[in-house]
Amino acid sequence: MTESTPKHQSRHRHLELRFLQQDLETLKVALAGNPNVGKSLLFNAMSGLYVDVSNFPGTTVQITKGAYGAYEIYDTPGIYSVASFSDEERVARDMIVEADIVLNVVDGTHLERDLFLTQQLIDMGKRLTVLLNFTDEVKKNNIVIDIAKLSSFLGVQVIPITATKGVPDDVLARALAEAREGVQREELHRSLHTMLNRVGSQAEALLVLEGDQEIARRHGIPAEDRQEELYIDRRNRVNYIINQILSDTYSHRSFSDWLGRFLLKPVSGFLTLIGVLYVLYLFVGKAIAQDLVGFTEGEVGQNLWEPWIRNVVGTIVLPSSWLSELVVGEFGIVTMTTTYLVFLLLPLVAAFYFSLSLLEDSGYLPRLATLLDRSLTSLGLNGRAVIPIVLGFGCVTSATITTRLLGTEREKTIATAILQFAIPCSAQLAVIASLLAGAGFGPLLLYVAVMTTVFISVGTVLHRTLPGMSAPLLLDLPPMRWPRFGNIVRKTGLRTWQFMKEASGWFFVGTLAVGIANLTSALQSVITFLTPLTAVWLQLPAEAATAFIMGVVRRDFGAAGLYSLQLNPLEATVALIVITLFVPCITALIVMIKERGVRQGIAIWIGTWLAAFTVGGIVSQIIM
Amino acid sequence: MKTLSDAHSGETVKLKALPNGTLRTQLVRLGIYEGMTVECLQRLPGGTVVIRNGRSQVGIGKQLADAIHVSPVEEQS
Repeated sequence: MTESTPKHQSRHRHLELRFLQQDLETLKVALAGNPNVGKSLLFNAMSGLYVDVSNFPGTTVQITKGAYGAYEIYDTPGIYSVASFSDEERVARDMIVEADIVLNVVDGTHLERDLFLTQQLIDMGKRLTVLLNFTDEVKKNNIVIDIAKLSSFLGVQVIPITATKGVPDDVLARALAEAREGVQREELHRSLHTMLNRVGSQAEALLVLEGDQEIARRHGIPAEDRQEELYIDRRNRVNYIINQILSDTYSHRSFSDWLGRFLLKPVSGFLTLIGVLYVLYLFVGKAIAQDLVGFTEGEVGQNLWEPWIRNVVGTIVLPSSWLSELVVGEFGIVTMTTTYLVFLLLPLVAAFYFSLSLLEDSGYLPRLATLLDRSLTSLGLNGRAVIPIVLGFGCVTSATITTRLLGTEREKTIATAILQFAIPCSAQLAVIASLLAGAGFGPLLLYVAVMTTVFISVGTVLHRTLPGMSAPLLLDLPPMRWPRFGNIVRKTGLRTWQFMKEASGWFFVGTLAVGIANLTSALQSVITFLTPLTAVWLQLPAEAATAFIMGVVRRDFGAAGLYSLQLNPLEATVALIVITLFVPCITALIVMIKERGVRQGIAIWIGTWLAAFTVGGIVSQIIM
Repeated sequence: MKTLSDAHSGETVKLKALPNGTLRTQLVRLGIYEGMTVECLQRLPGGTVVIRNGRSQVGIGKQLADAIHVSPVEEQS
């Protein structure tokens, strides 16, 4: 016990021999850090355009891989510590364990929070360099960090950067070349050494000590239960370091701080929310959904593209044949899918993801979550559920996946049900906006009122009937910041591409099915069969059934089907209520079954059918 | 016993006891642990609390705030 740490560590440099062998191969570099510290920005700068996005095996967490010189770089999900509370954390954990070098990005204005992860990475025995980001904001906030001292406390290089202004190559090269193991506490170091004989690496040894069941199982040993003790120790060490290196005359009166508080005050918070929603409506609902889509869909799609492709196809296939009908007819896979996908959906989805990235990067979303926490508690959720719900307005399918970030199974079930019942996705919203735009304020209000009622009813009923308790809110609020335009554009592009990639296949399948059904007059039989339901109960044109059938394939597709029917404002309102409440699209159903299990998935699915026709019918009987 | 829910906006309090289990670990890594002092920055209607710990801010739901025991601290500013 009297042996000093450096001396002890110098005795087992054998560990480092590992790295000599690896010089021959490509070194894996993981970028690790807390959420919102500028990891992705740095990653983008390092990897250039050649980025490979894929899902981590067995999860839906995305990992981005790029190349930087001879290094392979991985962008990991933002985490507060290496642990296994969520899928994101498990993914980040495995990538960090695997990595040869870790570049730990920390927010210079949030050192007391961020150094916790840094110290843990050091305790894991990783070779690392700390990149101290946001040096511009550090200066602006009058924070003075003694970098040399911090570096000597940690035992690793600490390099100040401002990722938004770019990081020179020589700085990155130095960060990678000088990455090394840091200073561990003597006692911990011994425990790790003992454990090391039983697991593959110091990193895994630490995780086993901290009670990681999964890692322990991989090595066939029991996990230990020292997490709390080690966490508190680490926290104390970080606080000690902070006290030694940080001096600031930070005033709590910065604009960012004021804005953060402003957004959480009940009155100003809700007024801002209404303002944000209104701006979103003006941008997505009006400028994009009506003006731009009106042009792309009407002018470019229907007047230019469709006649042109009909001509081209007409030279090969006989214009009145069934093949022609299938390819370029009313439900043609070339005419209709292209018009809807490229000229209607693409601009909308891109606009939605652009807005979402703005809200995310500015720090608004977590504040909205806090503001709405109390209201969501009465639905058995906490403020965190704001994220999947807001995402649902983009795509219900991907939002269903993000319900994973909720704490308990109970919350996941409630949030999934709400998404599938009451949240229209961006493509639907587009059609809804344009169908209701001409109808005036009344129908819009009615639609919103019905959806809100269903939203609250689904949440309340499930909250009252499901057993167990929901977890309370615990959410880190990042500072309010100006979003970086480049990053927003990049995020928007990536998300839109993924959405379109996933949506396109089903669109083709759906159109083909409807086209064939139309040709074989099966569609007519279905419409006739459903006539009592659509014509009498919902009081809609019989053809609305076509839209409903298409809605089974994709919800947005169903809503788009209503586009071509000449509905009056009241009919449009009823039809939109039915279509929104109605079954989620096939992909959403599949993902829901995967996430929530067959029984629950099917139950929610049947529930949406019943609700759609019951609520739609009741509204119709009242207003028409 | 006074809990974090009872703290008013702007009040500085010392954390006496945190709930056990996963929540405790999650609090610790966000930099919130027994014996430290935090400022209750805002109390939203309905009981959600925002605390300030150094420069970081954390939103805490009512249910959790109810379970965090605190004692008042003399303010010096």
